[in-house]
Amino acid sequence: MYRYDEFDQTFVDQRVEQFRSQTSRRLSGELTEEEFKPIRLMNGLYLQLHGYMLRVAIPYGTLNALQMRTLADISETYDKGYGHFTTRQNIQYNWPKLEDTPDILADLASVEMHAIQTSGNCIRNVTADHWAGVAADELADPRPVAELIRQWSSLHPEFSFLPRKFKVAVTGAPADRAAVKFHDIGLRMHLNDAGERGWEVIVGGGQGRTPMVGVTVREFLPEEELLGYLEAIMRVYNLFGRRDNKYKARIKILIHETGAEEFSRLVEEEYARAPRPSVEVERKELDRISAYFAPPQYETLSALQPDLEGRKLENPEFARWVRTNVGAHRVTGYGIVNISLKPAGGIPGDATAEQMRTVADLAERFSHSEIRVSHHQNLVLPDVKLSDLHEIWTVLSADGMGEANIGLLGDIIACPGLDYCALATARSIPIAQSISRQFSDPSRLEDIGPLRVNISGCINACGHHHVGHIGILGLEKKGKEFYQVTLGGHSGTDASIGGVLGKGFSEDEIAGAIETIVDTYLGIRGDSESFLECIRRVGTPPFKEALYAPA
Amino acid sequence: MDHGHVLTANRLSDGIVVFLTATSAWSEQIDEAVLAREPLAAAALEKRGVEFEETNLVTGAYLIEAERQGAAITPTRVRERIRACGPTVAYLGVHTPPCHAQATAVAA
Ligand code: SF4
Repeated sequence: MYRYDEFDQTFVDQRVEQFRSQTSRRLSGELTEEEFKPIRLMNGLYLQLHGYMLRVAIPYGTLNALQMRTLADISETYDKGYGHFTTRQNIQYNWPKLEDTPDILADLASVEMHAIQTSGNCIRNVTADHWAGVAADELADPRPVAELIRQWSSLHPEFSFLPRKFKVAVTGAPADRAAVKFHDIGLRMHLNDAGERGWEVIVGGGQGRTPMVGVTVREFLPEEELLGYLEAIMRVYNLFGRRDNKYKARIKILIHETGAEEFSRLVEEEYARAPRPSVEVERKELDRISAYFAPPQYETLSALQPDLEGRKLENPEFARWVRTNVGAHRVTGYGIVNISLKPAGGIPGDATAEQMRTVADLAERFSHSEIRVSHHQNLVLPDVKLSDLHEIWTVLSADGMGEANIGLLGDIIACPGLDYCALATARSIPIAQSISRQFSDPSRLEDIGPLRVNISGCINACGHHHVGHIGILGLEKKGKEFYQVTLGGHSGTDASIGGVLGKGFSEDEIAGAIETIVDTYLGIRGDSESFLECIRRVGTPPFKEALYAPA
Repeated sequence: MDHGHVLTANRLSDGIVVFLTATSAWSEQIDEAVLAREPLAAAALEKRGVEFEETNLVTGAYLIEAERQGAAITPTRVRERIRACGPTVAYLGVHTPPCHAQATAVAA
């Protein structure tokens, strides 16, 4: 993991002290709200529906056990004993007091964390494949590049007042787990014939009210040229991106309006023109950062695990959890444990202080102290020996985190919605709860197979409903919440945006509607045909028919 | 049933949602709020809000539409009903106190 150097630490500490003085000036009235608001936002503190909300950055979703424990302590000392892991691999606290926030930030700084750039029109927290560095299918760990971009973009003077916020995602694997086609910039690693690393640069993806799949502007950018090239993209965006209308200010609109080819030409022109750091300098910096991400000392283990197999035979529930929640590790005898924060009837992404500590303990004992947050609002123990799985499962189950539903219908992604969010038009959490209750039988979930349900409480799409195999968007009409359903979205390599089915459903109807959709699928699916494959084959008519045809 | 406006804001120090009462105090209970039934009275409430913002007690004061039935005040919009009562979902480790406006919100 990356560790702060002296410069990083001094900077973050100073920033906390600045905010402490600014906060006390606000509380004494020396600063007005108008003056203070941009300052608190720059430090991650929002004013939400019920009060302040603090968003803490977890760079590319990687944190260690000590940091997780500190997050737990903060939730108990200053909040209500829980936190919410978000679709951007961050954590949010829903009830911090303004007067406590400087202390919270100081506690975060003591474990090399902060809340800078989690708001505002700047380059936000870089997200990454949550299996980075350990996935069996990966070419190489993308996090050194994510860290390089983090350092480059942190408080970059030229890019701290962009037309709109800017999100970057990276993956080093062919299977896209980081939704790189739905970010302002998505980066996917490739190897050339000589085995050298390069990056496919995808620009202009996004969700919100105008969902778009990003376009590739460079198929293979040599790794050492990355920052120079990103800088050229940012310049073109900074210069030509619209500032007259906040809904048309993201880079996707610029690309849409100028055309991908012309945009690409502008970037190449800027790239050829602008001076940039030499390739050698960037290689050196990348090597320096990469050293922090050196893999741990793995043991040489056997692929045959008679003990594990025995446990699985004895206990079908454990066997199921291993099937659904453990991902393929690149080292023999190891696995990637995906911890579901989606118990049936629970709040997607919420974890209590106790649960955070349990995960921290497990990470320390079994996963080289490392933890990941996934954009599916789950947690990951990346480096686990298969022989330890049973004990981990036992501990997780005792603490309400043993759900065997990763990637299945119960693993619902939902934004906070109208229960917490000031921008929401409808609630999303109760919808997630009613669906996960309805589909709580694990053997049924497994039979249904991979199926992603995503719920957003407004058109901003923080719940990524456009890319849900089933997407649900909460809206309001005449003082009542209702829910629009889309089918066929997908954020993987073969990305697609879901299409609206028809008229919306009330809160009471929605779980039933999902039931009808699932039953329709089960009735028409081919041999081992997944939900998404089925939708792509038959389109929406059978589903519309089942949902809307008069009985 | 009385229909009118209530002034709400967030307390500056801790962000908690509050409502202006008849005695010019801020209460966390919407039922204790003063309900302005006339446009003039509502405008006066709004003015009080600005004054309170200037003295740094609250922030982001604004009027919401609400109805009073007996002792209970219920905002018209779902958003404001949830804001008055807290999340409609029992959050982990914490019990939401029962709130009549929320019961209405969920039933509506
Ligand atoms: S999608 Fe809308 S309701 Fe949900 S968190 Fe984003 S802004 Fe809030």
